[in-house]
Amino acid sequence: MADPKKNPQKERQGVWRARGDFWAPSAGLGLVLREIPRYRGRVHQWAWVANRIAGLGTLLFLTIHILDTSLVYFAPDLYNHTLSLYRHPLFGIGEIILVGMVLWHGLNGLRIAASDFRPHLWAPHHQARMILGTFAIFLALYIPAAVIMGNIVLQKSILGR
Amino acid sequence: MAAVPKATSRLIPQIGPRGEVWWWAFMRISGVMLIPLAFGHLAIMHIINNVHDINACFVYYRWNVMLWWRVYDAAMLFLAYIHGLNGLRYVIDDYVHHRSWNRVLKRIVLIGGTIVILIGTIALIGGVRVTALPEGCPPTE
Repeated sequence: MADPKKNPQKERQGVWRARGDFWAPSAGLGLVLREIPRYRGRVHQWAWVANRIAGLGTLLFLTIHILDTSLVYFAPDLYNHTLSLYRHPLFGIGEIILVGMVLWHGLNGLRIAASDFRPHLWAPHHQARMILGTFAIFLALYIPAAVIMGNIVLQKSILGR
Repeated sequence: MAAVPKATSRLIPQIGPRGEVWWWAFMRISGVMLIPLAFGHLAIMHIINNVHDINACFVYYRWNVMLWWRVYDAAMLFLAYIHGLNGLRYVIDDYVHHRSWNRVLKRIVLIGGTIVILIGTIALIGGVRVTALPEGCPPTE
């Protein structure tokens, strides 16, 4: 290994990395994103990753949704206009994804809450079974919902019937 | 058999100076309450009805005629949004370790979240103004 003091370019990179940490609000995020595919936490880890993404996605939608629904009081004409935007097929697909996120976040959260009241269930082999069970319930609810919603998007948003 | 760690590592948070255990309890209680609230909302507004049926007139019937829906929506507004904001606080604490950035971001979340909840509350109390409704809504006798 070369001594960084004898390599001014490397030294400067080091300086920039330090300053980069200062300016980047989420210096830990890059590390996490790099580690997630390497950390072999099996189904437990992916349930957690999905829960977090679903939670953040739902919060983002909820913020938009509270504000757009508020338009019905503040500016009713604008409210109707916003809804015409939501009838676009792309928003329809987003809506289907949103329902999946809420469904997974809710069911997975129920698993976590239930496990907290029966701490022996936190043993990894119990959790693996519970996560697969949660996923089965999720699919049983989500597939019919997605089919119905996909049909609405196809019939009304795309074909305009 | 591979050594399976004993399931004692995950504990209910102890009562600390920052009252973290109350947030833990809130996340569980609001989460369980939101299962019927949010799933019911999705079923009614996105599957039984859909975005093609919904307009200011629809909301007029929901809020001004059937008043109870405002209670339902208010419960969802507060429970879901505070649940989400606190979840975002957990995420910030997990990933943003720079002290002042951590504080700044959490303050933005608090202020922004308060504004959004206030706007939602005002709209829920205000409801739909009848003067703003389109022709034929509500139907004239």
